Amino acid sequence: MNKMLKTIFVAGLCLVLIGSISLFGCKKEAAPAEEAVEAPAEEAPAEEEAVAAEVVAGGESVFIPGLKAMPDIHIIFFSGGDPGDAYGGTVYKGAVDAQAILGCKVDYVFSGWDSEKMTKQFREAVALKPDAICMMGHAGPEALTPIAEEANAAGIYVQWLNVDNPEARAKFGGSFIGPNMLAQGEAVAAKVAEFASLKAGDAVIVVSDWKNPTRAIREQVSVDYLEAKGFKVIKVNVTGEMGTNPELLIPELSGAYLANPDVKAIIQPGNQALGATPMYFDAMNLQPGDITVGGFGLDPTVLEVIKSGYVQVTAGQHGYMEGFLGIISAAMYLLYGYGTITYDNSAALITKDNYMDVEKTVNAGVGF
Amino acid sequence: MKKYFDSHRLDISVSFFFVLVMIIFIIARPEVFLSYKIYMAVFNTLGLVAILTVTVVFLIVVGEIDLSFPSVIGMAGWIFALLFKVGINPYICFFIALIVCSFIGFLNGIMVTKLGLSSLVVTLSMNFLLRGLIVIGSQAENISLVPLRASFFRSLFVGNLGGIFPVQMIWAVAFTVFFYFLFYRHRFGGHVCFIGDNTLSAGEMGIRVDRVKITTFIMVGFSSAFVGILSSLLNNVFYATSGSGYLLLILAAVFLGGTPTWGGIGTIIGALMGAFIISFIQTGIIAVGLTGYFTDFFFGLIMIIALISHRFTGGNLRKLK
Repeated sequence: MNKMLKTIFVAGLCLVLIGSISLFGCKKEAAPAEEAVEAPAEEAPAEEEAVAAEVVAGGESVFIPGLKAMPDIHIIFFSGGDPGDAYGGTVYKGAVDAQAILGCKVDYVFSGWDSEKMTKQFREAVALKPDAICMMGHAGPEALTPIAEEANAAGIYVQWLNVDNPEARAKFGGSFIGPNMLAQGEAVAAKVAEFASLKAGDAVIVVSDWKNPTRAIREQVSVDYLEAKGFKVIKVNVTGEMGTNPELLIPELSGAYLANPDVKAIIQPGNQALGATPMYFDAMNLQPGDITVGGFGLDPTVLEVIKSGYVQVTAGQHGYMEGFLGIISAAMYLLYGYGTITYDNSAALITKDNYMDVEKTVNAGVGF
Repeated sequence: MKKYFDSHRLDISVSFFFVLVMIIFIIARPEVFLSYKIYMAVFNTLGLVAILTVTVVFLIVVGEIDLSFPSVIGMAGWIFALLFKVGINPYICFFIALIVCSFIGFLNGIMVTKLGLSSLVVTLSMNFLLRGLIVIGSQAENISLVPLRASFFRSLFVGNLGGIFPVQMIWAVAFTVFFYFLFYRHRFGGHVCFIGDNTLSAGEMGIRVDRVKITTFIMVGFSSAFVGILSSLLNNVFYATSGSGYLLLILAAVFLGGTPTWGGIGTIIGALMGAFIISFIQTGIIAVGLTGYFTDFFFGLIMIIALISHRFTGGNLRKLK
């Protein structure tokens, strides 16, 4: 009996220790967000400050009479990645901020960028009969359009984000907020080719989730561009495990690089892989600038590697705006019948020559 | 010689298979696999995989399993990065993370032994719980460890010896040597095997079954923490998703290394070789010119062939049981 009590006591102590550290982490993380909200109010002139405070508090807007906080609007929002995902997290933040301003009820869905999971979750979301669903089109029109039809029949508005579904939009309406992936893919490939001074016979490694075509649209466009120009392309596959632990890509990436001495550039699919470039270079015994690295996505880690010369170009993408405008578009349409928002959130190509223009935004944790 | 071969059939079988795979890769791409560069590149992550693989062997042999180690990896990285961010000395952050994650292993062990819960279910639940805790606590924010990049602390764990050889591989060798002697030369290893073979008989022989099992869970917690911190140092950043990618890799390496799923029998050297095979398969497939589409296919094929070869060269382990 004494032994059991001792065991329970020790176990309880451990739980308290873990819980304390977790709470410590939660508390510390809350502080920066509060500071970020306060800072703009202090800098704004008094009149604008009063208006901003009113809108943020969910009160009546002075610009649109009758606009109030919208607790009766229920939206199910797809963030795309898992919690903690570099890009999905930025989209999520934008949605949360829009929710805070409008006061509507939003349920967030996380899918780990898994098309099959997204399809299943979309079906379940429709069954919950919300007022709107902010959905991503990764699973493709074949899988999603029938479910979008069910949503339409149930009177649910579907706002498309990140990957478009033109078929569903043509049939049931709605708009698309997301990147122009074709333009992005080509722009990055062209810039990488320029920076690397690629010549005929040179090779480029393009990393992506090739097994998931809707996840590799931009990278495939880059591949098509490079191959059309006569360059050799080596495709390296990144799995979900490598996305969460970038170091696990080292064996494949090193193998591809060392097996192809004519490799002059690498194109990476996202923030985590780009941010891990110094680690990949260390493993391959390379120095910054030895080969050109380009990719898609921008966060504080990617900014650091651009500054330090490991990465030469990245295509920014306003993930925050994707989430933010997604909620605004759906909510304003539902409440006031406004036309929904179409927004191309592809951002500029960021290099070491212009990163300072976006540094503040990126370091605020909302990407670019 | 025969006595040595008989007592180390599994180890030799797995090692032989690894050598065979490497010979195939060398023949296919000699310019890659006869150069030290590819080995140094792979050792960066092989070290981490190896540390955890040789530890998990104890748990599998004792007849249990721990599916929470991916989240424990993440938890260790988070605790370390969080404490470092607020200004605590990295060495202290390191030890605190190790202690906390060892306690998590202790909790797993308590729930399995004292409450009689299935280790598969409990540790799977703990995996979700801890991951949720990490994401809630960190708010899914990355924590930069760039200030440590040029520090001695980082080079002590994930630096490059002579600018070439990854230090984490030295740690992996140290763990392997320690666990080898613990498994084969210390009574603890014997107790682990007895318990895995027949828990009831082991208890009646006077072996403290619960204590041994709890110790193996603590060992996995400790090693997971070690790997989690090294992973975050290697990446120069803590990711809230850190650790998720290791689950199938580690389990595949353990079973590929010849340790059977039913407990009682295991091999440390085999586990190390399993980690080697897992790491080099991925590299080799790409290096010989196959695209990413072929990775999973050949991964599975080589694993099945390896397991079949263990059956014929390593002896019928089910009959031994």
